[in-house]
Amino acid sequence: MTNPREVVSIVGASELPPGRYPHLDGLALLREALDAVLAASSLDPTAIDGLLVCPAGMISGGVTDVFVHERLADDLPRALRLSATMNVGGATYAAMIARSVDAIASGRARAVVCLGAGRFPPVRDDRGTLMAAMVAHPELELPVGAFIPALYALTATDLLHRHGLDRASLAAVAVAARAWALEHPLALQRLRGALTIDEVLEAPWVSTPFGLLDCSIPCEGGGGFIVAHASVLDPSIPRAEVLGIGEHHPHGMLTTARGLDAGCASPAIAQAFAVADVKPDDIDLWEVYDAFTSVPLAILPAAMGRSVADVAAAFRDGRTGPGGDLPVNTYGGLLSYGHTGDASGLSMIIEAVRQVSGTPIGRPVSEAELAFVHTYGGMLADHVSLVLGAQP
Amino acid sequence: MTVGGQGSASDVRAYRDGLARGEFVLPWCRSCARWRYPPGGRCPACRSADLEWTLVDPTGVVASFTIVHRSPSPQLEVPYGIVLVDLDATLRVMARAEDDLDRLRVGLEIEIFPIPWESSFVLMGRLR
Repeated sequence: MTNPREVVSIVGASELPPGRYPHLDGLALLREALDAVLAASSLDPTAIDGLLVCPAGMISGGVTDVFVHERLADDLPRALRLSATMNVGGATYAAMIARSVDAIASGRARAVVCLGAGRFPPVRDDRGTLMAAMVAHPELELPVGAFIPALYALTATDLLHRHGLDRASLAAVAVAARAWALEHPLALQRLRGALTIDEVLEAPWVSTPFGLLDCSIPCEGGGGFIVAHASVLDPSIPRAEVLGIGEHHPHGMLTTARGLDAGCASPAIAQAFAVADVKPDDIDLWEVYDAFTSVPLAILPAAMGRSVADVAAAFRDGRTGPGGDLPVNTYGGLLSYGHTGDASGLSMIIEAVRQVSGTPIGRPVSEAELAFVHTYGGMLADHVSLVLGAQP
Repeated sequence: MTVGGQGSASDVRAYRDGLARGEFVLPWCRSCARWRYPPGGRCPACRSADLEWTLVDPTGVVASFTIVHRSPSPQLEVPYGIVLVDLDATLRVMARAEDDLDRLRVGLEIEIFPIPWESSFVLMGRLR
């Protein structure tokens, strides 16, 4: 892979506030997202020659409009050189960066706008089974009573058992996420006050070891960013440089996963660090897709080069929270900022871009020059890691 | 009986036919000596279609479990358990557990068996 260090940046990262948009359908959300991204980027729209879009499909049980890029093409002023509908679950947007960087590095595009919208409905009636149908095998897993929190709960039971941890270690992840959310103006839970370990432990059960506060908050939203070659960017536009990307797709379903922990993510993580030529100690902030409290504890050890017990202790000791030396999910994460369904893989990228480009809208991380981002899709099936850096 | 190797419909039918007889059968690749799971017409490693539907020893070990307290569907009453069962070093399956939920622990011996469920079948697990 061509080292993207010299060529590619992310600009215009922006998102609609997570919430409910009953008056907007999926396409209308995407158009709002496009408006927001173009306005934030200060880029001449005629420079845009690429479009990658993820439609909101979760509300219909994973049935998506696979031609949604065509429905948006006429919202852009010129013919495109790259255009497609993409879905890699939670890894969609980091994968869009990977595809854009490849296209730009090989001269097939200069500025690719990447967009997504999501509608994560409240989980009731048959909705849990419908959503599980996106990621569970229809004959071998779904009839068992599989639904997404229960499938992740299986990975969490394994993690706690293997590393001798208890539910309080999971709860500490939710507590840290809430602490960051209190300082982010768009986070859904910003007005809910700080969480305590006991509150997380005493929340109603969902699927052991998860209670309600171990799970992310369903909502709706959308947003995006532009991945662009330096030649189309005014030097004054705030940006994050794409320094490293890693990608790995280890399995198709939970039951066939060879190991339920970060083993399935580590090749992507290692590749991103190797391409960026940086070490975990160089990283100033960590943004990791956290649909459930167990996931940062599973993924971050491989990224930070620490044991699971060390990372769990870092959460419990406040080192990952505001003012800590290992800031994680500095905007509240999916746990307290909100999980926007098909757009949920955006928020951690947008936060990393804002922090390293010096334009945070929540609490700034001091000397935020290098960010690590990890996103995954399906049942830990699709992993894309990023290392993003401040403009030198 | 040999798997047809022509897409998934016949594979699912043979799998369900086994469950209807009360047997958990899966395709076994004779050239790789490994299970073809999920069932399919060809071995993903060697591309051989020379697969044999083989009875699986239904005794295994709890690899992980969860007890579900919020039903994803009106057809399912809570609480129920979901168990990942290691049947041998290369074969893991998912099963539902309804009895002895308080006793579920990683590492315990568990036996799987099929029961009719909606228009098909589901694997159940029972601690030994």
